[in-house]
Formats: sequence, structure tokens, C-alpha cells
Amino acid sequence: MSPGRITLDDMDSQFLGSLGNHLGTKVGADFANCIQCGACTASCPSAHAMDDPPRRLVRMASLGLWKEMLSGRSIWQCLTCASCQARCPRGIEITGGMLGLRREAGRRLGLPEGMARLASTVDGARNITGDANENRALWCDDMDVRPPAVVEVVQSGVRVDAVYFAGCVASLFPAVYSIPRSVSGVLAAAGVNLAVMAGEEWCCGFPLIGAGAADGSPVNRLETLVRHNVEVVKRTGAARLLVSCPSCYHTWKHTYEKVYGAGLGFEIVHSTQFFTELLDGKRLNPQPREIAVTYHDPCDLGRKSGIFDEPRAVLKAIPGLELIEMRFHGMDSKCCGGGGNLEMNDPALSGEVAKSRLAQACDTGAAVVVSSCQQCKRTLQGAARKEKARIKVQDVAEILLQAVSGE
Amino acid sequence: MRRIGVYVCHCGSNIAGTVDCGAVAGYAAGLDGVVTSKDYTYTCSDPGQEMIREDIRRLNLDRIVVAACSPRMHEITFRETVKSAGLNPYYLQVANIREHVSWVTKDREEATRKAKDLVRAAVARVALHDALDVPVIPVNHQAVVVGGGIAGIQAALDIADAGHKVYLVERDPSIGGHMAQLDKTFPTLDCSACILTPKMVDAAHHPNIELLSYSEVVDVSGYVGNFTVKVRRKPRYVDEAACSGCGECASACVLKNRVPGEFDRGLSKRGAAYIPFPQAVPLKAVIDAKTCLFLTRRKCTRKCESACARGAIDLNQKAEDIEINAGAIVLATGYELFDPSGLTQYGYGILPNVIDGLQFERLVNASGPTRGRILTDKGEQPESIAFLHCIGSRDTNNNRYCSRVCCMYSMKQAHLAREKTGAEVYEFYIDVRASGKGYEEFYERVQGEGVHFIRGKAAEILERDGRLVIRAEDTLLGRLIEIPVDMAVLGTGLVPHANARDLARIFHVSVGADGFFTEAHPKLRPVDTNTAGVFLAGACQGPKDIPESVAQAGAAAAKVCALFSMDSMEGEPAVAFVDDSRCTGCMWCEPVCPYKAIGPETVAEKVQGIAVERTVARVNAALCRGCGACAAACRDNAMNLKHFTNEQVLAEVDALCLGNRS
Repeated sequence: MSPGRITLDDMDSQFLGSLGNHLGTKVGADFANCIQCGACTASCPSAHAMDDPPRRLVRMASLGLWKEMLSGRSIWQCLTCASCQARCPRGIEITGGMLGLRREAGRRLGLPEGMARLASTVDGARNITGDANENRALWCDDMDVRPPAVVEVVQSGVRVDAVYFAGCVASLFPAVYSIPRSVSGVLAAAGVNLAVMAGEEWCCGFPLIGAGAADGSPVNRLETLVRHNVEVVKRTGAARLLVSCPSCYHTWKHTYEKVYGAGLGFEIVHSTQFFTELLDGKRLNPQPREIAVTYHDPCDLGRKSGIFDEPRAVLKAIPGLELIEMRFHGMDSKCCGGGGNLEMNDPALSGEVAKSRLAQACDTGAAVVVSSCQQCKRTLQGAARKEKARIKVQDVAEILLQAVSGE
Repeated sequence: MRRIGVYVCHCGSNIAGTVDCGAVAGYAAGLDGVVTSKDYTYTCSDPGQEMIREDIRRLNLDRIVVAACSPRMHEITFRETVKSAGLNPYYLQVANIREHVSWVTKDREEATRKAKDLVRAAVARVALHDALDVPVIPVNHQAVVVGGGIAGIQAALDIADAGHKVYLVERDPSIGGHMAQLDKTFPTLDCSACILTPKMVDAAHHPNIELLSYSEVVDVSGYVGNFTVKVRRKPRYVDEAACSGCGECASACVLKNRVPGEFDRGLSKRGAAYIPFPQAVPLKAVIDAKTCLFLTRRKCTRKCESACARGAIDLNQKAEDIEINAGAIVLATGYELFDPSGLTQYGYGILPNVIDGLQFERLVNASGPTRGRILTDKGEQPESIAFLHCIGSRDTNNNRYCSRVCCMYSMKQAHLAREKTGAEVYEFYIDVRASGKGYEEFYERVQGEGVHFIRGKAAEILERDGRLVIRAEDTLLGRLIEIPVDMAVLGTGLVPHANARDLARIFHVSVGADGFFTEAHPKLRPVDTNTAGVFLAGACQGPKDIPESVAQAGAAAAKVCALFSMDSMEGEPAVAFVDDSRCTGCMWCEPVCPYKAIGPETVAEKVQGIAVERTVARVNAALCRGCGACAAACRDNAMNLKHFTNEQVLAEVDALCLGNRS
């Protein structure tokens, strides 16, 4: 925040009220309750790099100093990890508020270049990289048991137990192909019939929400994606949608019904929930692995969706595996640096946050830091490579498949 | 035909602002039996009441309807008015057209229509009102005070000094409560034990106080002036009369120094046989049934027994229930300290040297585990200490309320820490709340003693290089701050007892959203509860410091003494009664009565000249609180409630539902 005197001309008393609803959050409606204690800022992994950390953003919004706030870069440095919100003594919806402020920045001042580019990429290619959307199934092309695509399933009329929504990152970044491969491998080992969305899968919308570009005009971008994805799944008649990406899961679970305007007619299941169910039903038989691991909770899965136990249950089901918790885990888990489109907006800061989280994982002495998110894996692995850390980064699905197949 | 008077009150603009009072009065004038109907600005005022009295005399009115505020507000006022004009006070009916009408809508037309409906119902009902006689009930002049902390001790002493017998019931083996654990008190820095222990001893030796330590109230029946309180005396496994408090059993106990002690909050260890603390009252040993090897496994050499020269150990002691008749009860059950282990970001129970507020009190106290030396787990004097405010308070994730004492106790502890160790001291606060007498001055004093005040809620405690690092935002600078310290004291707040809800059920008092007991009125009846004869003192009603607890205890005692100034009092005439001719003696009413006021009775009667005996239900009018559950349960229409008879209530409902919509 720049020094100097604030005048009434700077203060737009209509600002908070003008923010309206955004994806179920009445943006800024509870900002007036803020007691400026700073617990949000001190819990924020990127606050040190912000010109205006969360506490001050809430204050600026409350006073209506929007020109200064929305033109700054601070709102784009938020990881949307919800650490602030989890500890806010007034229970203010800071993360939802931040997304609403990004949308407002886009409306009033235009989106930052990178975010605008992201939006037009998704508009054109229906994915975040701009690849041809058919390439989404490349990860499974060479698998021994290649899961069928939804198009094939619909044509042949075969019933499947679940449709797998792999997500843009897992589908289009070869470095994390092994996650969807492991997920489908584990399910195949348990005899679950799976169809993949493949080219019919469109971006879930999460990156657009983070870019402040979910609304779009004249066409509501998010709604376009939601309608398409829901209809594709519905055509298969599957009772379940399997999601392994925590961000896709969070969006499907918490946003889709609101946008779709009705019940989806199928259940949204995260891969770790599915695994736990299969393990409980003795449909998987993991072989012993003498290894010490620590588990990193992805923000969208843990703090934001409340799934803490299932990934741990999967790890504990592997005989011989020792789970060492980091000091900050569960609700207290720290972001890997991969959230909130920060990697696109400020890669250096993203790397810094990842380095800090990796150090906490290393402190446990574990040989592997396990997560259940391809984005966490990418950022933590990036940090491990850079820091030459002697710790392996794996996904729950990968470690489970190894145990199940006795590799 | 009845001669009914109707009075529609404006309550200034409270009612008249929304309801067309003149129209309501005009409407009422046309109702059956109504002789006069008026509207008036303030009916509860002296001229307003005089107007009613005058009409009763002049027009020979025999029933009165006042359409005004809630009957909770002025029903008693108008009963007195009616009574002073020579009518039975129960010939009155109040129609609530303020809380139920004018305060809940802005729609004048709708409001006026509803006011007319309510007045019509009241007129229909009042016509059937019977004259009721107010019963006179005796008042027992003994009191039970529950909880032996400072509030309970003070209340007991004040009542006892007024010449009344008091039973002081304490759950723990000793009275004293949390105040006994404190080192110094803010803002005067009086030694807590020095000012408390004389009162503890006074309570124990007072000729009018009977101390029941290690005891709990398990049941309360009866009503104001006539409670029966059942107290369970838990087995101490020590004969209180024989025990001299020498502590030989504690020294001999095979578990000596093995069990974390409650008084030092786990910072020191005791045996299964122990003396609670050196100044305990009564100074008697107790054997902890949860840990004693003999009591848990029947396997022990019972060295306590052989060590006791007075033969006071009695491992076969059993719990004993006693019943006390009392006219009044004071609840002074106090608080518990918030357990911060759920706030994992602070590492309580995980990181060494993260302690709560009461643990610090024990650490700094001369009779504590370190004999008053502030030491870390390694036995070293800390070079810097952080005090974290608002742990579990002012927090929607835990307790929304401000615990009121933590700012002050944290600053007092900061002062003691500076004084005793010279350590650098950091107070992490959101707002400093120092509104008591001499409190702001104390804040200023502590600032002057070099304590660093950092305005920001501590977000988390990290561990780095063997030290604790407090992370916060200095919100005044707008900069992140990380301070390494050797000890972190959590300013843990005050929460209701875990069993507060059970106690509330036993004593028929209500519990607020915050879990504390609720007073009858937040401003005007702060020590009363909604159960007559049960009063509140101290932190069981909400977080309080010592002066407030003592003041409230005095107020509760004054209430008890006011009650005891009467030998008898007026009872409630609106009680249930049985029409024997209809009652079949099925006794369905008996189990639904929450006050145990109904029992079977055998009546003798003659049927066609032959003497027969049969059972009917009988209501003990003294125990009945007039709730009406029995009347609703009765299958034979035999049970009825005075002033709420089936006929009266149905007339009211009929008038509401069937009468012409006004």
C-alpha cells in the first residue's frame, strides 16, 4: 500500500456491496467483521512477498480503496490454499473473497496478461496447455490394459463402474503421467471397470476460477465447461465419477451443482476414497514395503474438502510402511506452492513456497514425501531437484500400485 | 353475563406506532360481555391503573383484559391493580400486542387485525376465569452452595454470617478452586493464596457452614423455599474425622511421584494417596480410585495403611448419599481452562515449553513444582518468553466470546517473568482489554517495565534450532515477525465445565449458546436463574475475574438472605388438579410430570350403596409448577390446570379460529 493520505475520493463506500455473489460466496460480505489481528497474514505462505498481505487487503476492500488494491499484484499472489481462512478467528471467507476480488479486477481493470491468455487458451483448446484435446489420453495409450474412452463405452453400450476425470495437468504433463496410469492400474487390479474421458474431457474450470475469468462474457465460461462435462458423464450412465486431481475434485464437488443448477445424478469420488473402499473390501492386496514416508495434504483435498483420513488409510494399509507426520499436517498443512495459478503469475514465489514445504518434509527423515495431487508432486519434485534433496516425491496412487503389483 | 373492561395500551409509540389502538378498542367494545373499552397511552402508569380501578368500581366490572406488552412484563402489575379494586387478581387476562404484534411487523393493517384477534381471544377466555387463592408455602432457611471456589466460599460466608445454615458442596477434595492455583492477582499483585486461604479456613470453621468436600449434587427436587438436594459424598478412602493431614500415607504410597497432579496441572507428580496441596481445606488425605493399585486391581501392599498411625485409611469406604432440605441454592461451579491441544498450530502437548496460563501460575508460584523458579523443561531459566493472547477465545473456531481475564493475567505473568528472570518478554495480542479498576494503569506499568507488546495474533509456533519461534504479523507495522523464545505461554481462555449441561438439568437452569449458565435477565436479574430459588455466582455464568466473582457471590447471598427474611411466601395457584369423578387411575400422568408432583391415591366411595376403593391420581400442589404436561396426557379429561383449564384454553382457541375475522 502506498504511503500518503487517504481521502474520501479514494474510498468507494459502494465497493464491498458491489462485489455480489461468486460461486456461492457473498464476496466480502463478512470483511466488516475483521478485527485486523493478522493471523491470516502470518499463516499465508506468500504474504512475505505481497505488497498488501491478506489482512491489509481485507482492510482496503472494507474501506473501498479498490483502485489501488485491484491494480496491485498481491491478489494474484494468493495460493488459494485457505490457510488464512482456517485460522481466521472471525471465520471470514478470505479465500472465496480473494477469488471474487480477482474477478472484480478483471471486470474493472482487465485481467493480467497471463490470466487473459489462460482464459483464451481454455476457450480455444478446452485445456490449460493449448494442446489438441485428443492428446488427453496419451498417458494410457501404451498401457497393457487400456481403459476405454467414454465415446467407445457409449457406442458399445458397455456399463462401467466409474468414469475417470484425469484433469489437465495429469493428462498433458508427461512428467506426471504416472499418476493417472497408477490410478487406473490400481482400479484394474481390483477389477473395477473404468472409462476415461479422453478427448471428451474439458478443463474442469478450476484454473479459470483462479484466474478471475470464470464468468466470461457473453458466454459464461465455467457454465460451458460444467454443462459439457456433466453431460458426457451422464451419457455413460456410470454411477460414479472418479477424480484424482484435488483441484478438479474440489470444483466438481463444491461448484458443479451450483453452476449446473440441479443434482448431477452421479457421485463424485476422489481416488483415495475409492482406494480406501477397495482396501476395506479386500479387493486389493498390498505387499509389504519397508519404507518411511511422510504425507503432504493437498490444500484442495484436505483443508478445503476435508479429506484427511483416506489417503493416510491407504498408506497405512501397506504393511511395513511407516507414516511420519510433518509438524504441520491436516488442517495445518502448508501449501506446496502450486495453488492459485501462482506458478503462472509468479514462478519464483511458487518455487520458494515449494522449497519451504519440502524442507518440512525432509525434516521428518522420511524417504518419500507422498501426496495425492499431481500439482503438489510437480512443485515438490521441482524443489527437490533444485535443492538436490534426498527425498523422493510420489503420489499415493503410485506407491499403492507398487505395493499391489509387488514391484 | 360478565361485565368485562378492555384496555388497549399504546405503550407510547411502541404499540400505537404500528397498531391502530383506537380501532382495536372500538372493535372490542362490540364483543360479548364487554362493558367498556378504552385505549390509553401508558396503561401501566399510575393514572392508567387508576383508570382501570375507577372503571371497576363505577361500572361494576368483574373481568379485565389489558392489551399491552408481554405478560412477563406487567401481568403482576395489573393483577395488583385488579386486586386493589377488590377483584380476584386472576380475573385479569393480558393480550400481548407488543412483542407478538407491533414489534414484529411494520404492516399497520395486519398488526391492527392481529391485535383485534388477540383481544377477542382474551375476552372469550377471561369470561371463564375462576377466582384463585394464592397458597402460602413455608421457606426453609438453609442454603446449599455448590462449588467451593472463591465465588462459592464468599457466598457461603455471606449467607452464614447472616445467621443461616449453609451446606458448601465441593466436587474436589479441597475447596479453593482455581484461585488457590494462582500466584499473584492482577492488578494489585496480592498473593492469591494469602488472601484466599483465610477465607477457606473461615468457611471450614464457620459454625453455620457445613463443608461437604469431595461431594457432588446428584439430584434436586422441590421448589423455592423447599428444595431437597441429594448430595453424593464420594469415598475418599480416608476417614475424614481420623485423618490429621500429616501426609504419611502420601509418602508411603507405592505410586508416589508417579501420577500427574491436578493442582500443578501435570507439572508435578503425586501418588494415588495424596494431600491435594499444602493449604488444602479440609487438610485431609485422599486416595485416587482411578490410579490406586488396590482399588483398581486389588494388588497392592497397602503401605498407606501401615503408614497411618491413626488408622484413618479405609479402602472399603463407599459412596454415601445424603439429603439436605434447603430453601435456596447458589450455583458457583466455576469454569475450566480451555484445552489448547486442538489448536495444533501452537504445538501444545507436542512442543516442549509451550504451556497454558495456569501451568505458568504453578511454575511461578513458590509452592509450585519449581519452588517459584521459572524454568524450561531442561531446568534452565528462559532468556525470552512469549505470551500469546486469545487462545481459544474471540475465535469462531472455538469460543466466540472474550474470556475477559486473559489480557490481564498475561500481563501480570509478563510482569512476574520480567521481575523473576529479567527475560525478554513478548505479548502477542489482538486488543488489550483492561477495563477494570486499576487495570489500564497496570497495562501502562507493564509497558514501562520493558515488555514488548506486538499487536498481532500469533498464528503458529515453529521449532527452530531448539527454540520456539512465534510467527505473527506486527499489524501496526504491517510486517511479518518471527520471535525466537525459550518458553511460550498460551493465554488460554475460560470455558464452561464439561458437565455444565448435566448440572443445568439437575438444577433446572438454562445454558446459553456459549455453554455457561444463563441468568434470568442479562441486565436486571444477573444472579437469578429462571428457576426461583436457584442463584448464580462466579464464572459458571460467564468468564469473570476475582473481584467480579466475589461481587456476584455477595449479590447471590443477598438474594438468598432476602428470601430467608420471609418465613413463608406466596406459591403458584395455577396448578394441576384432578376431577376424581372422571379419573380412572391409569396414572399416565405420573411419568410425564417433570416435577414428580403426581402420585396415586386410594379413595373410598360408595357405588350403589356398596363401599369400594379405587385409585385416582393426586397432584401435590406444592410440587406442581403448572406446566400442564399431565393435562395434555390425561385420556379421561380428568386432569386440568387451574388458570389454563381446558375450557378456558379452548374458548381462547375457538375465539381465535372460529370467531369472525376482524
